[in-house]
Amino acid sequence: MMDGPAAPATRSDADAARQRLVEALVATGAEDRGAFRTLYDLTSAKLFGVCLRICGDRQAAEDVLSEVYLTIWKRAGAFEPGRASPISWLATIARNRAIDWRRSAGRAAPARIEDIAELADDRASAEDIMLVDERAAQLHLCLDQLDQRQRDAIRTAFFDGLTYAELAARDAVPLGTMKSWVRRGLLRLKDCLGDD
Amino acid sequence: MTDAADLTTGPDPDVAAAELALGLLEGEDRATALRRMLAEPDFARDVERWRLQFGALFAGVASVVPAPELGERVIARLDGPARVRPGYWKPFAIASSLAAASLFGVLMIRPDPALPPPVTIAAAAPMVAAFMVEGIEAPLVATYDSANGRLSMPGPMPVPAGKSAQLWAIVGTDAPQPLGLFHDAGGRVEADARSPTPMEPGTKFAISLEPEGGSPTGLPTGPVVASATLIRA
Repeated sequence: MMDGPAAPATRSDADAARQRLVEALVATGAEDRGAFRTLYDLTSAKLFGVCLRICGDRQAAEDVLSEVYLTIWKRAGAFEPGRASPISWLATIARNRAIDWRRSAGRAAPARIEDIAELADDRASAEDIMLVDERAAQLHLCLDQLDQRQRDAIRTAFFDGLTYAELAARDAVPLGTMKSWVRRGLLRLKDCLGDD
Repeated sequence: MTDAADLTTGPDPDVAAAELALGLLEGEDRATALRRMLAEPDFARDVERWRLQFGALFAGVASVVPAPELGERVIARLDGPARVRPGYWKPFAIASSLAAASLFGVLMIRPDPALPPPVTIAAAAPMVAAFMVEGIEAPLVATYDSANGRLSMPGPMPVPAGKSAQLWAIVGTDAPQPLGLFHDAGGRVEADARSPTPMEPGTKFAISLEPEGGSPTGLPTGPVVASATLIRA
């Protein structure tokens, strides 16, 4: 086969990618523009995916992404390598910015996408494998133990950046019902994840 | 309806932390949770832990390549307003008694200075805020210059190495607004306190210890070490 799928990334690829990313992020904190460019090249597709999913509009998502990287330039010095995964730290900045934009622009939540899992490429990239550490395995295990509607609501809140009110509207259920589902789900999740 | 086991009243605090981390809350509920981040270090830690835990889900978001020229556009914008340089502060041993929880407790039981009736502030009207700091009898009086939007107070400020002291404004029941980081200014310390809405008497300020460079999330993440209310001088 000429154009077969790329070989799946392995754990050692992931470790090397994570290390490159940590180095680029730390050097960006010291105002190294070359490192910032490397950081952009390594992460912009993932962060754009996060923004696009929440903003639901390519132009808006690019504007938000641009703000996200300016924030990263200013705040990279605050990254603590031992505490958070670098890609998760960066993606959280993107998610928060995108949510802020969508809420301040008064935009409706993006259209429902039936199965989030379908969106993910089967062949995880190195940056994705970085996220699949033990903590992630535990989270997935615990989410799997929830009722489907609890799990769906929590996942949708995360991926699409929805509020309780938006989740309730999307599923056409009363707000109190949605809150009740999600809170019960979060309590079970908390019990399952334990206290570290 | 199936609300027999409704938990909508009296939510577990750790669920509120998860709700805030996920972004489920809005309006007054969100503002309340954000204020708790400033007031309750344990709550702030829980929010952070949930954020880290949920961060694992980013693996499920499909990557999408942005427009090729966007990278250049971002680089071109780096020469904007000067960034805050880490390492401003002279390292200064911070007393262990400055633990956030106890300090906040002290701050909370001190009566606020009496507020004058709301008045329209002329551009140059001076305003002050008396910060109570544990271990210091007299309040540290900060002056707010409405002309340049700077809040200035006697220095130096004790900030542990590797941290920045960030100023926050809390107007009414809104969520805290992130303002500038304190830096040395000729024997005093000052922070940029410009905000989208004009500072009015009654605005509450808080100072939290954040990672160097300020809160990465735009929300307070570290312990609150002092707070004050803005009043007319």
